Amino acid sequence: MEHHNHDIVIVGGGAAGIRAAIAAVELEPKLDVAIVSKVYPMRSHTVSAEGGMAAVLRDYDSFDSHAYDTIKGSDFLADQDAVEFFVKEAPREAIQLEHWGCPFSRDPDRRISSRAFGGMTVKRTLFATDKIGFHLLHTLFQTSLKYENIRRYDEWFVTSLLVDNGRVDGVTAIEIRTGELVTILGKAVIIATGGCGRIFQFTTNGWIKTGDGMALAYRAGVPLKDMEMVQYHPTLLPNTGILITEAARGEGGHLLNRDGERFLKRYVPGKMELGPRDILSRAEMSEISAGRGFDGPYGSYVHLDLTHLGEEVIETKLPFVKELAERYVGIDPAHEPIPVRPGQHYMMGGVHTDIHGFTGLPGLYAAGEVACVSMNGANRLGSNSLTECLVFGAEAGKAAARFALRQNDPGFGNPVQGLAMAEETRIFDQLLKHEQGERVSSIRTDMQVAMEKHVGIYRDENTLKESCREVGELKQRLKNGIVEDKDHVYNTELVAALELDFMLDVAETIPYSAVQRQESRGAHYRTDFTKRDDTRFLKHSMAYWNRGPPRIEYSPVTITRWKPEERVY
Amino acid sequence: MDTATIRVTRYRPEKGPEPFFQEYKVPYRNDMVVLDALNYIKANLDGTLTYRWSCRMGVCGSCGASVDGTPKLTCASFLHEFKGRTITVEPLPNFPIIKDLVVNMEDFMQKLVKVKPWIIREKETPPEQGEYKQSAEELERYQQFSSCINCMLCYSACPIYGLNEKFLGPAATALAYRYIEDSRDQGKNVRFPIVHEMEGVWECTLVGECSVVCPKGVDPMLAIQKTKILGATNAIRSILMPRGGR
Amino acid sequence: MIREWTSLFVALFSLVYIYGLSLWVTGSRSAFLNLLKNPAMIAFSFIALIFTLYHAVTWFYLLGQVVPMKIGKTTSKPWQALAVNLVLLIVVSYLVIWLLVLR
Repeated sequence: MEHHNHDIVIVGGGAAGIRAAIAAVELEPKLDVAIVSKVYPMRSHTVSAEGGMAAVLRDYDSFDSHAYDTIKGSDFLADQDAVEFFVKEAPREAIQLEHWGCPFSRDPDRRISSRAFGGMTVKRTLFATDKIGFHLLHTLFQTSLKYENIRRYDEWFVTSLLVDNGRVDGVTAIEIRTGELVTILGKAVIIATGGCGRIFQFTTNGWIKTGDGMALAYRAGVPLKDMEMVQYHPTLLPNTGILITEAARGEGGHLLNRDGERFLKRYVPGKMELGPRDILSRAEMSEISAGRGFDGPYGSYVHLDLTHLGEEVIETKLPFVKELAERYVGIDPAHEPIPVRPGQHYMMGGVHTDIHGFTGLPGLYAAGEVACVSMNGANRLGSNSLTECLVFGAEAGKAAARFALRQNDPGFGNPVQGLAMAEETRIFDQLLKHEQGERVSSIRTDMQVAMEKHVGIYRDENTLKESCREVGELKQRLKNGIVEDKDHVYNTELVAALELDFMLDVAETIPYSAVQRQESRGAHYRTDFTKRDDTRFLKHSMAYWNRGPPRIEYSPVTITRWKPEERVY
Repeated sequence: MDTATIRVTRYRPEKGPEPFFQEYKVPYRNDMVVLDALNYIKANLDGTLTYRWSCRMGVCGSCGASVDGTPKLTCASFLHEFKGRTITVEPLPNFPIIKDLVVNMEDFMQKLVKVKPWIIREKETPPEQGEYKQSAEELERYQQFSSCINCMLCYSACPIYGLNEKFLGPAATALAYRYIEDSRDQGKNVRFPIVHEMEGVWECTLVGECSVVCPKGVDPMLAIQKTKILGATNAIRSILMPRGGR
Repeated sequence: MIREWTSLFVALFSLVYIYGLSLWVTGSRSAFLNLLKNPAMIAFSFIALIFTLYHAVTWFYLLGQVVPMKIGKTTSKPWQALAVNLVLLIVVSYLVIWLLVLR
């Protein structure tokens, strides 16, 4: 089998992955860094982020304020040392991004503009009209092109981590264009593959968000932390699930029920539309359940009203929102309210790491949405995620670089070669060769419907136990799944089958973690345990791979300066 | 139930050397985009249909294809935009086909790198000293050209690129111009030789189809013409002031 | 792609005109005038004029986009470039006609 050697192998080419690569080669220019991505990096889902990225840049702001907002937003599940590190590194990362060319919107004093955002007490969300993710990703990607030592494997799908003697030696990956399985060895591996929104039926996420890296680390023995913390974003377009940015509310938009009432005054009177996402999503669902929502062909929804902002504000600050509303619902937001409803958007949980992006498994690091440091705890504040990708992407890149400099090349002897050959057998001799069975797409749809129904915004013991059972069944069904496309060249159905395999493993950790957390905290809301229980559950859930249902253990939350208090806005 | 017929190009190099058309019947709804039809076919009728897509909201640039003869993003083209109930979907023209609707993008990727799309400065100040100042007017000079999602529809629409693969092309030139006009960049002298070589901007004969098909309003045709003006004035300056100027 | 088609008409018109000039130069001026008076020729010239004007209008507008003029604090708009150049076109055309014909 063909094999390549690099110092660092980065799986995933989004904000965190590219930032890590740049950080590594800037630390040590002699390092040979490979970015392996199943799509061309410009397609990474970072590109769809809209609102902005948070950082303390102005005199009216402070690190303590950003930290407290984040910790309170997390419903006190965030590790406070990680948050303190994050808020202090954020300004440097934001300015570095600006130096690399990011076209931030500007204030009259020619400095970077900032806007209000959910859960933030002051304006610290730096923005580039309403396409920050697009500009951030393209800036990082284009900047990465100037480093000759960053090599890219574009449209290569990583299928497994190679672990030898308790150390990660590299990955196996399919070159999608030819269908050939190749071993890519590295002294260190960084996982930056993003979240797993496609486990759910209704999500803002693109189709590539299938939890690949979470499953890779999970199967290698690294626990997935706080997986029950699934963020529902309050404003998705019904049917398509396309994201309408929080910035629309940051610029003054209102959420209205069928009576034209700004109903949030009954839920978060202090922050109203700029309350945290978990509370807003539940508020919308409550209004809908009480019969105060609107009904449409794709379910119930509420209104996001931007008509009072005026055409100029929308054209200059929210042009992408206007484009999306016009194209996908035929509405000009300056004249009509936009139909919106909550939907899955982000995973607070993920691959367990420390502040430096280290997973605990020698040679393996993770950063970005795929990782859980934990910086976001039980609920993430909007605009913290992009900054998180930069801060922890850079940190993981440097940590992986320092580690790699102390290592020798892993060889392609046994057992690594044996593992790689076994992988080839599993995929090409077993999975691909099935002649009869169920379509991958039907199992996938059933998974999405089941997860949406039983691990949604409102959960209880019964729905969660049902979900545990359902995922087990779906995993069985996949064992008898078929891949219709038998080609080697560009086989997207084979990739879809492998993605579904990853998704089911990751999906299983969610209800198993959720059912054991007998409290409501942040995004995890249980109708049978509606109160937050710091005595029993001020701790992280850790789901360990167990060749079947995961084993759930717990690890403590690091509290430094902010004692948990009642979370009211 | 309302239906539409999708006529798609199939090309399976392992099965046969020639591309051919295959037709599928899909349900028709007023709010369906071409991508929805392709996804329906792949999930329910024929899992072997192969194409690129991801964000489904017109920002990742993956899903370019030729729909009824025009380069379009399949995620942003509604079925009701096209005449009749039979819609033909083909791979983007001017690129080699890998399989079905998936084309080889390597030439484009190389052109992206060629124009050195990063901030070039004589001296970088450390981030601790704060951001480079830029006014709203300075931002406006290059902002629209920074909106390119690399979807390659412009290369498909350009007849010059169709005739001459060496032509630098719309998106790459727009990207070069984006950096040239960015007040924080000081790399004109590095980029000018690249865009002002023969197969740079001078091959462009102002057809303008690139800007017509661009889904993000980048207007690459304008960027190319502006770059030509820069080239012309630069050439005159270097003749009149061979040792002066830059 | 309409602008591309205009070049076809310009090319054809040039060929016909060169032919006509060759008639004039070799002494058959009446043959040249008959060619010009031919209804088909008049129709073709008219169509070619429309296409050439279309090219001129789009070109002038493009000029305004590519090289906006800054006068003090204001920047010119493309339609202004179009208007100015159209006026110039009319003026110069009239001058030429006056010089060669009307005088």
